[in-house]
Amino acid sequence: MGMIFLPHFTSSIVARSLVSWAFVRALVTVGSSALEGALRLAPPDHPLRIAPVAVLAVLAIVAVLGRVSARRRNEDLFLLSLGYGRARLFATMLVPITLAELAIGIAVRL
Amino acid sequence: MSAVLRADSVGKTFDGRAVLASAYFEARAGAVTALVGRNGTGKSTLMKIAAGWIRPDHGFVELGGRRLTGRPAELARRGVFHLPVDRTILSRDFTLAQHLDAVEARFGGGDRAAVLERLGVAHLATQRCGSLSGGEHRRAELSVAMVRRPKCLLADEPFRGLPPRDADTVSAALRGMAAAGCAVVVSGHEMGWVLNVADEVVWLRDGTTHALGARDDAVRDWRFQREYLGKPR
Repeated sequence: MGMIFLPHFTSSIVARSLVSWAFVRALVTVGSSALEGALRLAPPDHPLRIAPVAVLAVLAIVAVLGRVSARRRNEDLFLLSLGYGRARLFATMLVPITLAELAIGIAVRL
Repeated sequence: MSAVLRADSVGKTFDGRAVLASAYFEARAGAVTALVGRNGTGKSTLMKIAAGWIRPDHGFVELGGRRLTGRPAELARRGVFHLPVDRTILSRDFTLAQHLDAVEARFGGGDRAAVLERLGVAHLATQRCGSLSGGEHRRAELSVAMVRRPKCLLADEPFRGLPPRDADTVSAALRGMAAAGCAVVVSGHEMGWVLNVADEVVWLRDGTTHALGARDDAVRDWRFQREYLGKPR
C-alpha cells in the first residue's frame, strides 16, 4: 500500500503531517524527559531519544490529527473519488514521519 | 443498453429503522436513471451503497459483473463517481484547477477547457473552492466528474438549490455525459428537472424500488402520481 502521488494534494498532506509530527514529537520528548525527572529515572543518553512505545504514540496521534484535518478539508472525499482509500491516505501521512523517526534513531546512535 | 452498475437485494438499517429492505437498481450505459422518492426513503443511502461508501446489511453491488460491495476506492478506481448531497468532494483549500490537475494526473487528461466552458465555471478555476457559492460549487463538482470521465456517475440531488439557468446547464451536462456512454443516476425532488433529464425512473418507496420505466410511463403511473407527485387521480 503506497503513498498518494498527486500534484498539490500530496505536498499539502505531507507538509501538514510533518508540522503535526514536529509539534507532537516536541511535546512527547519534553513530557518524557519531565516524567523521567519526576520518577528519578536515569536520563536518556540523547535528549531526542524517546521510548519505542512513545514513538508509536506519536505516529498514532499524528495519524488521528491528519485524518481529522483531511475530513475537515474534504480531502478525504476527493481522494476517495480518485480511488484512494483511507489506507493510502494514512500511508501518505505516516511514511514521511516514519522516515523522520528513523533518521532521528540513526542520528542519536552516532 | 447494458447495466454498468447494479445494486441488488440491498437492505440497510439505521438505529433499528429499516431504511432499505430490498432495493434493486441498475445504471445503464448511455442512460440517465432518476431515483425518486419522498424524504427518508433511502435514495442517498442507496447511492452511497452503490458507490461503496456504506456497506449494506445485505445485498451486493456489482460493477461490470464484478462484486465490489463496500469497496469505495476500488469502485472509484474502476469508474464510479459519486457526488453526494450532504458533503462536497471539493477541498476548500484548493482551487478547481488544482482539483482538475489531480484528476488528470490520476486518470489522464480530459477536455478540461471545454468542460469548464460548458459548465460556466472557467472564470472560477483559480478561485479556492471554499469561496464558491452553492450553485458554483455544484457546477464545479460536476466539472471534476466530467473531466474524470467515469463509467457511472451517481449524482445525489444535483439540482438542489440551483436557479433555473444553472439547472439547465447541469441538465445539459448530465445528458451530454450519458450521450458519451456514461451511466448516469440522479436523484432529487425538482421533478421538472429530474424527469426532464431522465430516460427511466425508479421510485423508492417502503424500503424497496419500483421501476416505473420511461419518463412518460412514470408520470402516468397513478400510484406514483397520488403518493409522490401529489396530482389528483
